[in-house]
Amino acid sequence: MHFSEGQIPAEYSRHIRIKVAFLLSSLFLVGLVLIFSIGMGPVSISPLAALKTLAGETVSSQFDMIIWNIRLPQALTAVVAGMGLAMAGAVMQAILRNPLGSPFTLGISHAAAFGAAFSVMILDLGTMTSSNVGAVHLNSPYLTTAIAFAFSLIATCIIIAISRLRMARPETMILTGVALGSLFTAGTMFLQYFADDIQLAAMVFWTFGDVARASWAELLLITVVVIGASVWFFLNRWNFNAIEAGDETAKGLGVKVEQVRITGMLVASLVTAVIVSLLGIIGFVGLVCPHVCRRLIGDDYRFLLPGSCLVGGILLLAADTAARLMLAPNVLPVSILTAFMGAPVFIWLIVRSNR
Amino acid sequence: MININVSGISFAYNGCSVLHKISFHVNHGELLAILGPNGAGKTTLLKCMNGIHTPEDGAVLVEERNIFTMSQNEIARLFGYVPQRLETARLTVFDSILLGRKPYIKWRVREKDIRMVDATIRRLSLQHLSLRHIDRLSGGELQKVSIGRALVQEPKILLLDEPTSNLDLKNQLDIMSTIKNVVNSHQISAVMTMHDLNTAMRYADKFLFLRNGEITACGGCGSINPEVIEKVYGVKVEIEYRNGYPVIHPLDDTGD
Repeated sequence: MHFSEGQIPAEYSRHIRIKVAFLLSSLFLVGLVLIFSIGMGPVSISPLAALKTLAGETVSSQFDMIIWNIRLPQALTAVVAGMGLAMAGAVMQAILRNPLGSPFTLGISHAAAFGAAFSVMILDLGTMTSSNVGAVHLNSPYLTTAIAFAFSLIATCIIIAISRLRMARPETMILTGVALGSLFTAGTMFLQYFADDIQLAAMVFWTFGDVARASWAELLLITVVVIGASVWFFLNRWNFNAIEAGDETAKGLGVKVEQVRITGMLVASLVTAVIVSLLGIIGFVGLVCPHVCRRLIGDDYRFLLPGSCLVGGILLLAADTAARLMLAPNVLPVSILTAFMGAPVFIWLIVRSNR
Repeated sequence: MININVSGISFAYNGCSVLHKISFHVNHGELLAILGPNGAGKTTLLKCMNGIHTPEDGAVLVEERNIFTMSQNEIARLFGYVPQRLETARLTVFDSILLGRKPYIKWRVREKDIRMVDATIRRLSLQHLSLRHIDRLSGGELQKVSIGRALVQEPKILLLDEPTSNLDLKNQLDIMSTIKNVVNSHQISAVMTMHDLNTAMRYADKFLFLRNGEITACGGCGSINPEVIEKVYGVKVEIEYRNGYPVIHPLDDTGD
C-alpha cells in the first residue's frame, strides 16, 4: 500500500470535532460564569444589567461603579490567573514528564512566599496597619511583590542551572524543585519564628492568594505575560507531544529536547512568578486543571493547552465567586477554597484513573 | 538510491570510550543487524547514526552529506527512529502515529498528513485500534505504533533499537515480518540492534558484530561462523541450516 491510498477516516474527524466542541463549550462557559460572577455580591445585578453595563450602556451609576471598579477587574484577574496557572502546570507536567509537575511541586510558590516574608522582616517594608474594618494592608505592596518575584526567579534559575549540569533531566528538575521548596519553607518558618505579631500577620496575609488584590494595572501585567507565554506554549504544542512520547522519540523527531525543557521551564515559571507575586499563593489550579482536561480530552497538547487554559479560568473564577459569597459580608481568600476544592477533586481523579 | 557510509565513528561517555573508529556501509534497501553482547555499544552506535549522540570523531554520510552538518529537522526527515524504551500516554494510536509528521508540520496538520497516517495504520493492520489510547495497547501493538510513527516520517533509513525485546515469540515474528515488509515495499534501508541471533539470521541481509566498541566482523550470512560468535560472545556454538535459514545452537551452558 502506498501513502497516497490513505483516506481521511470519518471516526477520526469526529474524534477531533468532539475535542473542538469541548473547547468551544468551555469558552462559552467562561463567558457565562463571568456574567454571573459580575452580577453576584452584596449588591445583586441581573445578568442582563451586567451585560448592558459591559456593553457601555449605563443601567445605573452604582452598577457602573461596582462593575467597572470592583467586580470586573477581580473576575477578569481570576480568569486570566487561572488560565496562566493551569497552562503553566500543563507545560511543567509535559516537560518534566511527571503528573505532579506544578509551580507548587517545584518550589516556585514557596520561593515567592519566602521573598515576601524576607521583605517584611529583613527589609522592614511590610509594617502593618489595621484599617477601620479590620482588614490588613502591606505598606509597600509593590516592593514586597517585586521581591517575591525576584525570589521566584532565583528558584527557577537555580533549578535550570542545576538541571543543565545534568543534561536537563526531568528528575533532576523535580528533585531540585522539591529541595528548594523545603529550603524556602524552612527559611520562611525561620523568619516567622523571629517576627513580631505584626510582621507575622503581614507574612501570613501575603501568602493567602487573593485575586481581589489586583487592580486594572496588575491585571494588564498578568494578561500580557499570560498571552505571551500562551503563544510560546502553543507554538511548542508538537514538541510537548513528542516529549510526552519519550525523550528519545522526541529527539528522533527533530525536537531539541533539552532546549525545549529549559525554555519551557523558564516561561512557565515566569508566568507563575508574576501571578504568585501579585496575587499570593493560589494552589492546586496548576495541578488539578490539566489533569481534569487529560481525563476529558486526552494528552494531545494541541487541545490540552487551550483546554487547561479555559478550565483553569472557569475554576478560579467560580472559586473566587463562591469565596466572595460563602461567608458574605466577609470575603474568603480564593486560595483557601481552591485547596479545599482541589484536593478532593484530585483524589477522585486518582481513584478513577486507577479503576 | 540512498547509501549510508558510517566513517570512523568514535564516542565516549564521560571520558570512557564506548565506540572506537567504527566504519561500515549500508546499501539501499538493505536490512543490517548490529549484534553483540550487552555493553558492546550497539545502542550508542545507533544513536550516533541519527545525531541523538554527537560522536567525538567520524562522520555519517548520507548521499555524501555528513548528517552532523544538518539541522535536527533535516535528520528527522532522513532517519525514522524506533527507540528501545517506548513510553505511553493518553494519545490515540492515530495521533501517536501522526506525531511522526512533526518534521513536516508547519502550523496545522494537512490532509496529506492524515491520509499518510491512515495508509500506515492500514499497512500495519491497526485499523481496529485507531482511536484507542496507546496506554491500553499490548507490547507488540505499541511496537507497531512506534514503527508506524517512524514510517510516516518518510525516512530513507529506519533505525530500530532492539525491536523485538520484551515481546513473545508470535509478536517477535510479527514485528520482524512487518519490518522486512516495510523495508521492501517502501524501498528504504534499515539498521537494527538485536540480541536474538537466530531472529537476526532469519530476517537481516547483513550483520555487524560489535565487541567492546569495535567491529569484530561485518558482512552477509557467509561471514558468520562459530569462530566469530565465540570471539564476540565467548560462547562455543554450532550452526546448522533449516529451511534455508542458519540456526545457532550453543554447545554448552556456561560458555567456558
